[in-house]
Amino acid sequence: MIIDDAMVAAARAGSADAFDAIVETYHVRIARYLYRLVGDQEVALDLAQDTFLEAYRGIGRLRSDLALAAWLYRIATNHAVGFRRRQQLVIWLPLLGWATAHPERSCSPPADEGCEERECVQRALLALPRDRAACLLLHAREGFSYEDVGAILGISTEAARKRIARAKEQFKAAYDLQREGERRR
Amino acid sequence: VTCGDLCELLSAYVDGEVSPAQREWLELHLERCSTCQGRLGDYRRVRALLAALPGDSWAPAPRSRAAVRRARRGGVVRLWSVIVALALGLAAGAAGTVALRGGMGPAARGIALPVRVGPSVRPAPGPARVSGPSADVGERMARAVAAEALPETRSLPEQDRGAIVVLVYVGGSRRPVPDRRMTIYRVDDPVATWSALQQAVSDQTGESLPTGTAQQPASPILAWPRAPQRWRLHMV
Repeated sequence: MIIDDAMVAAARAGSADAFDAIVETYHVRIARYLYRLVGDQEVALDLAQDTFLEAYRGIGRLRSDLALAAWLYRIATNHAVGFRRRQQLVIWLPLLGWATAHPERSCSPPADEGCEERECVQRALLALPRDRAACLLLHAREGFSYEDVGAILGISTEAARKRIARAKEQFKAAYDLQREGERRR
Repeated sequence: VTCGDLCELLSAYVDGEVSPAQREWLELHLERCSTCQGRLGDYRRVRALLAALPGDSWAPAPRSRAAVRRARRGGVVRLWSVIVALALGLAAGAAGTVALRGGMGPAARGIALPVRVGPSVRPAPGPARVSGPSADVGERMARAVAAEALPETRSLPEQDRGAIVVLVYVGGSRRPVPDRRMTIYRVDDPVATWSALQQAVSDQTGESLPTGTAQQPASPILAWPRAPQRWRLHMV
């Protein structure tokens, strides 16, 4: 479905159908983006839910100079960054018996080279600070221009350009580290 | 300009974010600079690697619509945060007393409960009861509370979300949403846990919690309206 200005205006005016259409259109994109940022599908779904709830509450305040997609990605990014911040405060205590009941969740060696590479890519991305990872994903995977990335993250285009270049360096270093670790196993 | 200064420009070049003049200048430079050629290759590889990220085939159905509908109705908006605020008996040696909060409103206050471990959180026998948390869980919880460890509701695996979840506010927070002062656990045996809670609250405050509530884990949000200024209890 195409979300045009009229649809956004209707959602801003409180149309539930219009907002449902926005959710329908953007949910998968936002959820995938969040999944790549946090590395967990369940968490990504929760964060996507939070993203659309915040969007629902705040769409009346959506600025006219910020595209709907960019605004949704901004909210999603903030939630992912916030999640990471909370995660760093957390000591997770596994529930008794959970690991043995769900062996598929345990870390097992990847089945093939392609799978191994994807794992390394994901882990390398997760090793980056969230704002840097967000920069990379927003541009390389979500297709936003540097200008859009700056708007989403609330920084200048020039700052986005610098941050993306720096993120690439960090990502490459983290990826090489992951591959080295895989080779040593 | 040294090659080290060209990182951002090379990165932008790979991303198609340079002006025609910059492109022309850079391509001339690249013809005679092996260092920048190598860096260019690195940036291209990063792009290719990011294209290999997992998740392209993942197309989850929106949870958000249902949640938004609940929000429209003015209900609680986070399914997983609609939680039983239960006090548990926790290990005495580890934490002394623990202030437990379940307040929804700004007037909510904490209650201090004695810390115990063992029988109070063990499942009572009975065919309808599943295996419950052991003393080991209680000890770990106490240690976690003592260390202000902060598990995340979001980290609960899907299959645990429908179960009773204990939310232990370790003081400080007045909000029943995940934040830095809260600990959340699943309870496999809500009846036994509820009994422990009843006893603890009764011992501490002289008040009585309603009986039987813990036997309705699938019921919608249940608030305990008798003492909204002290705490509010929810369960899913």
